[in-house]
Amino acid sequence: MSSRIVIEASGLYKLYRLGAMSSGAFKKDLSRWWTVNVMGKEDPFGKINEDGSTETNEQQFMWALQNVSFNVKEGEVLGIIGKNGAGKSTLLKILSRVTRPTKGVVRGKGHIASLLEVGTGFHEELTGRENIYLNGNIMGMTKKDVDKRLDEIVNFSGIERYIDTPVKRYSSGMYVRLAFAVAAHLNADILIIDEALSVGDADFQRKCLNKIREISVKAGKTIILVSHTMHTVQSFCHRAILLQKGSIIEEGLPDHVVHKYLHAIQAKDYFNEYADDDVLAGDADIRVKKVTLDTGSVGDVESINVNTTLYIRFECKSVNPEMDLAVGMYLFSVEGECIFNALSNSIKTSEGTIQGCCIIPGKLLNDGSYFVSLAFIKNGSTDDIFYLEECLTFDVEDVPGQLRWYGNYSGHIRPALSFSLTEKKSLIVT
Amino acid sequence: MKENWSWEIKPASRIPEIKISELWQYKDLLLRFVKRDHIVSYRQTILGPLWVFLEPLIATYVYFYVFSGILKVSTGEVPPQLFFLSGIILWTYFSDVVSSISYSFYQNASIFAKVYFPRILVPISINVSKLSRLGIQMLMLIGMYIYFNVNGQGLKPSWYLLFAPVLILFTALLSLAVGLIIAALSARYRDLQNLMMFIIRLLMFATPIFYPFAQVDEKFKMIIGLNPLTPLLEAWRVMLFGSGAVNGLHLLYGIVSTLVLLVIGVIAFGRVEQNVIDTI
Repeated sequence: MSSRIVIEASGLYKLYRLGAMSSGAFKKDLSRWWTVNVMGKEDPFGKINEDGSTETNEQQFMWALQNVSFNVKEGEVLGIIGKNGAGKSTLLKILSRVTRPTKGVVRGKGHIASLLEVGTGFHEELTGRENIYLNGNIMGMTKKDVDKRLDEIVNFSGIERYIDTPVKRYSSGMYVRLAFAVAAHLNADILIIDEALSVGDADFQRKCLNKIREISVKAGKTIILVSHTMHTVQSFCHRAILLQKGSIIEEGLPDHVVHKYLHAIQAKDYFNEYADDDVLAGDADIRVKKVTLDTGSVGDVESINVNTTLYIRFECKSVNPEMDLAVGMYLFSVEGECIFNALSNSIKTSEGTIQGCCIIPGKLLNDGSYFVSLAFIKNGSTDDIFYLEECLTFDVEDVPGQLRWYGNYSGHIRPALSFSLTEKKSLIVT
Repeated sequence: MKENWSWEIKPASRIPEIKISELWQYKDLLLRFVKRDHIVSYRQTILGPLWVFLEPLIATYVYFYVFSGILKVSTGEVPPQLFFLSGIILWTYFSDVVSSISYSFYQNASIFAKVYFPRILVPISINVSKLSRLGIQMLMLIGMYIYFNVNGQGLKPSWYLLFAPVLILFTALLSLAVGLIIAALSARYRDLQNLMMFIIRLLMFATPIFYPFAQVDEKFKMIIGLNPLTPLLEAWRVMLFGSGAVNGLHLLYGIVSTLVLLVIGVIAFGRVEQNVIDTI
């Protein structure tokens, strides 16, 4: 790693419009255009104040990034972490030049290639070979570049036999191998990677990770990596950035930033009390008062390991004099995959307080980070649901093994199944 | 310390910058897109590239029976089949290019959301694909031209035919320009695309494809003459058959309006392209 700076982002902001485009949006567009271009006034939506603070006058606009500045040095592997919706993808989109910032500027040196998804531009009707060229060209390689690397790419993909078959006949595994093979042989100075590592089988993933590390170390390439796997960030990155609600809240050594990330979401999210009546989470029928997590008795959250039984408790106020209420509990992995959901019984409510408790037994979850969302289902209707999203977050730690197994357990759950081995006594006939 | 950066990502600008050198760097991608379009159009078809001939040929004979047979439209000295075919291939080229380009953003949304390359390559590649198709159809036109001459028509092309490549270039630029404008307008509101394509279909009647411009009633000459395709098409017929109603001023109008539309199209497309994935 040299001290030469190859990317310099300063004061990035990005404003997004929420909701679907419709004739209503057309009306707002017209009025916005009228105010800005004809009346000569400032844009009524999405102002940035002198001091850098921001405001949006209308609910349907949202700041996905606010005042984000950082540098990347040549040969450095920079990790970007943060919860879903923290602005990671938006930042990568700006860096890979598919969208523009609302304010701020990024300057850089060298060719950038972004792997927001492997296999971009692959066409079903084209053969593997044709797709290698198409994908390579889209990623900014010339025909000559691809010519030079073709053999290497084909070898790496391990599908020599099918290289002249249209990719629509490929299995999904073959497709991903080919796509990754092109991605791994890009001749970019700076690589932008977003979770591209989570494709293919474990074996192939390791091959790809090694390849990318090789690229980074040998060729002195710069990598910007967005990952949900804290382990990847800690082992690969030289430095990490933690994003929260569109702003950088921590920057530094990966171990430090990852710790801060896990700690911050834990400390804050075991206990959520919506105390003030004005800011209670809820809608016309439901006001959620609090959502808490404990390990047996209220307030007790010492440490959670794979054996711990978890109690998710919540209290809500019904402001509807007559309704049927059932509550769904959704458990998500930190990558945003739903692990499972559970549904409560339904009760008839009048105006008053309702409390609930959902128990996740010990010896079920694997070690990892999880978060909880609640759905309040009214009158058994799928249309009338109030979602309280990501209201709790917790980490499950591993317990040093009683079993003779030193590796990690795969998957999100680690149920204690009945699983035994016995030696079968063979009958020896003499 | 003064740094020399090789690229810069700034907020969307009102007048987009166009870097010719960058387009040149991506020339392989342009050719690749053209190749892809060809492969995809003809793989798994029975007649394959034969469709390039069949379509205009069938259209020509339908027009021939309708306009020459039923409506008795006169095409002067020129055999009606040849007259219609010369118009149809140019019009089909124009409307194909415009309609394909107008879908650029929708059809490529998934690529545009992930990788950067100069977006204008997509409409240009569409244009080049269709241009090669037009070239093949020109061969058919030449074939029919020779056939009629062998059968004693005595048609003579004008020496202006040497300028045919220039004329085709301007037709290509006009198609690109109109396509870019429609793509830009309909990026946010898809129904504009339907509306504009409807207008393009109607425009066919305001283009002298199945009637000579010379025969147009004085009342309508102005309107039909304002269509920038009219002088181009008439000039095309002058080159082929030595007969057509176009003068220098009208041709100049066609060329200037093409260039103006092109500038508008490139700027409009460039402006929309910068943030299009946020709204598409």
